[in-house]
Amino acid sequence: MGAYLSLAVFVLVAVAIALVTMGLAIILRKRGRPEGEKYQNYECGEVPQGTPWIRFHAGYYLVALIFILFDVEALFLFPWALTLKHLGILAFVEMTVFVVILLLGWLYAYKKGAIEWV
Amino acid sequence: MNHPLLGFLTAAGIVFFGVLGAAAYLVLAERKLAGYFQERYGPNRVGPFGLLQPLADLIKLVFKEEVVFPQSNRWLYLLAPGIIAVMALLPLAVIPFAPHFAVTDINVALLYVLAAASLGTYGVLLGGWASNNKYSLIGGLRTANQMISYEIAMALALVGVVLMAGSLSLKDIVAAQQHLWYLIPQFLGFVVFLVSMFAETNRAPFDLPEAEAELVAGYHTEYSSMKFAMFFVGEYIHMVVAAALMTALYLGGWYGPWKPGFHWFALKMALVLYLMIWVRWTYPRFRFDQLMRFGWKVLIPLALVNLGITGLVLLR
Amino acid sequence: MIYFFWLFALLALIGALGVLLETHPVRGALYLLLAFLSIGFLYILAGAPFLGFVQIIVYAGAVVVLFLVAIAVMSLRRIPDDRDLGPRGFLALVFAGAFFLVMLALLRHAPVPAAPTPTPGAPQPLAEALFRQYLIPFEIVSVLLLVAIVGAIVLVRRRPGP
Repeated sequence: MGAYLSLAVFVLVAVAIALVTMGLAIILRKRGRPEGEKYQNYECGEVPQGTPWIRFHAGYYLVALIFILFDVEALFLFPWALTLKHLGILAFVEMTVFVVILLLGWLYAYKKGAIEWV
Repeated sequence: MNHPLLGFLTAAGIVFFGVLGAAAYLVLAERKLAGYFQERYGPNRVGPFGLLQPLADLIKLVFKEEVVFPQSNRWLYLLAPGIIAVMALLPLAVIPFAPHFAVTDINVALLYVLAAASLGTYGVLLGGWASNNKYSLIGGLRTANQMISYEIAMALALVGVVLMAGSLSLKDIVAAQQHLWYLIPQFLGFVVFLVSMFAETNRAPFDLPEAEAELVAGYHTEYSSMKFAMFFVGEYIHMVVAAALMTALYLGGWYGPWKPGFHWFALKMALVLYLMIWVRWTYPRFRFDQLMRFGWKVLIPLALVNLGITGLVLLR
Repeated sequence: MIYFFWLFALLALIGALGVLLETHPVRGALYLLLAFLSIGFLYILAGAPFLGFVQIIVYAGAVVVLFLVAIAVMSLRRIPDDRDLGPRGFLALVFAGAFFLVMLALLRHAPVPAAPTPTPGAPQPLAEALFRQYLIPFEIVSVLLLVAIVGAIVLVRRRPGP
């Protein structure tokens, strides 16, 4: 458990570094006055038109969803990789079946143009 | 208890200062090299050969006016650059820089690295979202999609290394490369990992998120002063970490023709970083659809093929 | 070590409550992130670092990203606040409270197994169990993932638009 304790301390130090640098800037910053257009969002020098909250293409969502599934697949591969030498050819076949079934999904996405981006 | 704690703190201190310094000078190196690639001098006014330039930049950024737009979501807006910088720093804890030097070592180190990479996505998403700016939001979404797509390719490439080494600990992985660097038996995996590293660090030719021609500066359009610096330094820390990972996973870490040690690790890291800079100033940027197609239709199948071959060869 | 348990358990609860009470979708997603992360840390504390990091990568690193992307795609700005407790809400509270009491009673009388060893376990035994003992469930998971991919594509597929 000691290694994880050191890891936790390391994470805290990293957070502290980020906080200190940003805090330093807040202390040392030049204070400006909020003037009319200064605090408007940047839109190539023009007055911003409309809201940024347009509806985005559903493809972004689809990619995020397929990502989760492949992420799960990749994480199943890690314990497999650790013990393949020990478990032998049977484990290799098992994983091949697993990956092939998932690749059917990939193929379906391919055919339906889900990973096509136009 | 006293002695190991002291050792840990010293190691952590060395790594933090070393990497932050390396990141600062990497910025200078990149600007210098970019200058030479384009037949100009690069920064050469502050100190000899511009060596004090990072310091000057830091001072300038610290004293800049702090701007938080009233229409942005204040806390999330401030949180985002912090997440980027912290998540870039985290993997350093498990990287063995020399035979007996690593901050700590856990037996699932590679998963820890992947976890830090996957949490880094939030900095980009939140930064883009909290700015309330069209360019930021589109840039943030694009980056998130790019990072998650190439994260899978990266994870699949890593599985190949795990297969060879039989361990998730980076120390064991480097130790397993004493006689043969994984660059050779895992060449396909190395290529996949290299390409996905370019995408994960958001660097050219995959710097779509901040494609200035179409998105101004992407998710950090509305950031200034130290908050911008956090994004910026985060990117360079990310590069240093990527180079260190590449060295430990594929280039034999601290091993070299003569005495093994940190000097080999540093030399290999420097070469990888040079490669990253070289590529950035040589290749044009991909289009977003090309990038997604490449990730899903080329890199991921390639990584799986690599796994199949590696597994079969190991079981032979 | 027990203090860490309380810390992360408390954080997980705060996250869960935040998801329920927050009306701002992005902040709600961040509370969910907090809950998932804390549960991952609890796994690590219980001596299962592999599961802990898998929890962090999949739930904290992927599922919440999906939610944030979904929020952007649907351009949700605020969830309408309709939490007035009518008679149905009252009944729900009663049942939830009763359920809580039953769980509490069960927990108090259940035989508590010895605390797991706090030494971080290696992932190898997990892999052996997965590929020998639980082979069929493991293969079925792939079918489940396949169904999920197909379902997602059917749901999102571009219809011939105007």
